[in-house]
Amino acid sequence: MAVNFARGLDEKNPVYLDRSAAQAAGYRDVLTLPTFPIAMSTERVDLIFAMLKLLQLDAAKILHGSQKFIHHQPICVGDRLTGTKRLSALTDKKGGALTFVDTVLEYRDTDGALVCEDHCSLVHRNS
Amino acid sequence: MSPIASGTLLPVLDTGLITRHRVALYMHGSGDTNPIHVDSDFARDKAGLPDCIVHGMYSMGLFGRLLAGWGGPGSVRSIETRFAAMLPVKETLRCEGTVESAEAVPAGWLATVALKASKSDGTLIASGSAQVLIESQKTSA
Repeated sequence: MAVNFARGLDEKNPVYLDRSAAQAAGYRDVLTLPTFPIAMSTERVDLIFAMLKLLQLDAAKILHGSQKFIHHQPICVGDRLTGTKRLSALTDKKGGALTFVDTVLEYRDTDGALVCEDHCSLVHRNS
Repeated sequence: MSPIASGTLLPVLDTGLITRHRVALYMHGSGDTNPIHVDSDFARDKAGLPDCIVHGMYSMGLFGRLLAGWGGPGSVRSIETRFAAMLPVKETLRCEGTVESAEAVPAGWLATVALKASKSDGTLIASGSAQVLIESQKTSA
């Protein structure tokens, strides 16, 4: 998955494509690109739909407004991470025409150390 | 003094044609299987668009490539993107980064970089900012 992610972006550096090249550079396995964690949250897109339903928002009226990743440790193929997501803010903007749904998703390794934070802002059109 | 002056331009990343094949690979890699990105019939008949559109996160992925290509693998400490407009397939994207500031940290220098991606006619597709760690042994080499 991570390799197709890199190939789709036309990445040529073998540390993102090939295990032996990554290991020769000192990584455990193929290194992932900085925005790869989006693939980890997309695997559980059902949770996003469940959250929107709970908030009584229509998934068809949602746009991805902005996205941020904060990296604390490199993420390699084969790593085992646990993600915990929370709703951080629900804000009406433009006189109620838009609702911003902000979430924070934290990934931790098996020792509980913070590896990556995913800050996502979805925009719901209220019309 | 910081070896990375504000105003430094990162090497520009010009994608060349973003083909349907690249978008399909990215679909498999990202898990975002929305047909709007790969099925032109769906894009036209169901979404009312002339053709498929590239994933918004594809542009952000290119920012990631641009930054890691400059600072090296593992150097991107944070990356943030705002999505401005849709990008049709078979377009090109020009991704640019400009160093805004650099502060000294124990491991070296933490550069704040402003990001911009525009398509062939100059339309802004995405913008953002990032923090990239430039380790001191790399800057002195």
